[in-house]
Parts: sequence; structure tokens; C-alpha cells
Amino acid sequence: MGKWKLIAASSKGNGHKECQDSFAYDFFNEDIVITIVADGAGSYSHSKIGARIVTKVGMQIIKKYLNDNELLSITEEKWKKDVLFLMEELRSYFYKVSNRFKLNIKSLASTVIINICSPNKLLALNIGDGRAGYLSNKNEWYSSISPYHGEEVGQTVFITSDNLQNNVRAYLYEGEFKSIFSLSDGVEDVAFECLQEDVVSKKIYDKNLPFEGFFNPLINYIKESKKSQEELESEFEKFLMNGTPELELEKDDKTMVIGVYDEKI
Amino acid sequence: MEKLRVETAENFQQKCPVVFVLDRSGSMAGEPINEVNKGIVAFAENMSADSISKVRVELSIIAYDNNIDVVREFATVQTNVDMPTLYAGGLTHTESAMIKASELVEERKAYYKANKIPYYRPYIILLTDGQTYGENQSVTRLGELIKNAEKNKKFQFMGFGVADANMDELNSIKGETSIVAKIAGVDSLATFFTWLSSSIDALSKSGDNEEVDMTPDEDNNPFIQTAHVG
Repeated sequence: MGKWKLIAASSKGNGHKECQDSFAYDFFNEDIVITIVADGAGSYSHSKIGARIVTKVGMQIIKKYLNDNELLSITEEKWKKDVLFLMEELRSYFYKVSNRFKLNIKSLASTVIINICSPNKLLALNIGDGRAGYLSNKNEWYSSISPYHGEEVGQTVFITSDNLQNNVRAYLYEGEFKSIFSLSDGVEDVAFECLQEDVVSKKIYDKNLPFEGFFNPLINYIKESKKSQEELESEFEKFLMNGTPELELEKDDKTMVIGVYDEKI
Repeated sequence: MEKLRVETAENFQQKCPVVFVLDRSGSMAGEPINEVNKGIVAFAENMSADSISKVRVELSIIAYDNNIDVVREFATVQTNVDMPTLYAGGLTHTESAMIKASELVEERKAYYKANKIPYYRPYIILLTDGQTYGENQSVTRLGELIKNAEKNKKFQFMGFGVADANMDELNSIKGETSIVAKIAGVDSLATFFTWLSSSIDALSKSGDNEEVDMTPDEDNNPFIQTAHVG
């Protein structure tokens, strides 16, 4: 049996006073990995707290769910139904915090991206924007979620938005997964083919495909590195800060969790 | 990871439409219009020097007196050589100019939607040294136009007065999210356009509906009695 090797980091956007993104990752029964990325909405006063709630409480909720449900037995139909309850449960913590600290629940606005991955099954869900994806056993990169984008740039939905049920998107994939990742939208312009022009119609569309020129060197580096987890994550934070000219200029906060499944370990 | 070299994806850039509505009425003759002309060239220089702004910001310019002319159609600002030169003379038909600007942004949005191009909420930026004046011009209707547009998220308004501009009128027409400020004087127009380009630059890179800090530098504040704009 192999083992997942995961790293994660956040770096605040150029000009931001503080980073409002949050991330978490953990293991369940050794071969299942859970990753969460939350992007606290820039213009909402307590969104940094909202993003923290998503990652901390979200992780507890998912672990409890995996305790109660055998991952391999979860069907797509069941997952699509269950995520609504899971996100309702997560949202109930937002009500608790907003009541206790007398905050408007909307001031805690945050997106949610969750991956639950075993070497041969991937459950994903998202509310709002950001990207996530995986590497198949044929060494092809795919996206695992479809981000929500409103009419204007920057418009999206959050865990705190009305009509939660309409905003939760759930996905289930089967196969062999060699790598998984999630990232906040501050990283997507370099790591993803997003807005592309259709050669025939000339219309712009969201291709939503991980860019292999970005991901292949990254996972090879992680796989081959002998550095400690701490060192590797500190390096990764610097990479997100200024690893490319685009990342250095990016105004949005940048967060990524990436895991590589190494069969040799 | 210093040795890590990654390639980065190339994506089509979202658009940030901006319309300048520039007063060229008779009172702007001489130094004021010269400063405005220099200012829009400097604005273009700053936009075209930034790798992101030059592909995202689409600028249209309306020059008005009692005639309303679109002197620059919506286009990205790739160089500073294609900026129009304005000549002053005539009355101040601000309402008609703003109606034209709101029509232009609606047309542009329709174009973006038809081509599935993501866009930021458009900005309409008015610069005047006087007050609405002339046949069929109504300050009340102008105020309704701006307030309704902001309420319905059609565009964001910024109104700037210079010299003898009627600031009471500008303040009366603004919506809840408008920015209105008085520029210290004609000799501050250069600083104003520098501030404007850095503000538009920041807007074109913002995300998440985030508020952009437009507070001018203390040493380069083109405005009167405004430590904070917004």
C-alpha cells in the first residue's frame, strides 16, 4: 500500500492587509485524505473567521461522516443527497457564531471546496469559486469541481448565501488517483486553463482544465523532495508568494492544498 | 522550491469597462483643457505600462459641451498614442452626456454577454468644472439616472469637480456607492489622473467584490479636504 504526501500553504494577495483564505487537510484510516480550501470574501468584514469555520468545523463534520459511512459504499446519488445535510450542518455553526458575537451571518461569507479521496474514489463538493482537480492513472489532469461565477467578475456564492441548497455542487469519481489538489481563485489564472476562446465560435468559455505545465513539475518536486513537511510547506508558501511573476502580482489571496499518492512508500 | 520552474496557463482576460465623461464647455478653455488632455495621455501611459491593466481595462471617452461626442470607442489601452485631444467651447449638457455614457455601458455589457466575456461592473467617471446647464437639462433626472443605475448595479459613478464646479450639484446626484470629490485646482489635474490610473489599475485586479482602497497618498493628494475618497 502506498501513502499520500500532502502539502498546503496560503499567501496573502499583493496589497492585502491579511490573508482571508484558510485550508485544512487530514487523513482518515491512513489511505483517505480530506482537503478543504475556503476563500473568505474580500469585502465582508469577518470573512476570515468564516473561512476558518469552514476548514475547522468542516473537517470535523467530514470525519464524522466517514465514521458513519464506508467511503467505498457511498454512491453518487447518496453523496449528492448527503452533501446538502453536511453543508446545512456546517452552516448551523455560522448561525451559532453570528448569534453569539452579534454578527450578521453574511459578514462571515466564505467559499467551500472539499475533496475526500482514497486511491480509487474521489468525492468532491464546492460552494462558490476556486478550482480543484486530480491526476488520473493515465497521467491526465482533470478538474473535479465546477466553480460558480456570477455575471460580473468576482460575483459568486458563499456558505452564508441564501438558498444554500441551490449553491452546493457535489461530484463523485471512481478510478485511480495519483494526485489531488484544491486552490483558491488567486492561483487559478496561472494553474488552470480558465477563460479560453473557442476557435470556431470565437466565444469565451471556461475550459476548467488543470494546466499540466504547472502541475507536473510541482508534483514531481513534492514527490522527490527529501525535505521535512515543515520545510516543504514553508517553501510552498514562498512559491505561492512569488514563484512566478503572475503570482507575485496577484491581488487575491492564494491558497493551495496538493497531495501526491506515492505507491512506493 | 527555488529550483522549481513551472509553466503558467495563458487565459483570456476579463474586461473592466471605464467611461470618461469629460466637460469641454467654454469655461474649460485654456489651461484646464490642456491639463485634461495631458492627463488622459498620462492615464493611457500608466494603463499601457501594466501587463494586466493593458489587457483588462477598456476605456471609452465622451467629450461634451452642448454636443455629445464619443471621442474614443471602447478599447483596451495598449499605448498612449491614440488618445483624443479635446477643445473647449459651448454649454454644459451633463445630463445628455451621462445618458450617452449609460447607453454605451449597456451596449458594451450586451456585447460581453453575447460573447460570454466576463466583466467587472462598469465605471462612469465624470469630470466637470461647472454645473449642468442648457436646454432640456435636468439635475433631478440626472440624479435619478445615477441613483437607479447604482441601485440596480448597472454601473458605478465617480464625479469629480474642479475650479468652479458646483459641488452641491455633484453631491446631490450621487448614488449610495458613488465617489464624489473636489479636485484642489487645475494644477492638481495631473495628480488627479495619476491617482485615477492607480485606482482603475487596482479595480481591474480586484476580485471577490472586494473594496478597493482608493485613499490618495498624503504627498500626492489631488483632492480638497479628503483624506479618504469613498
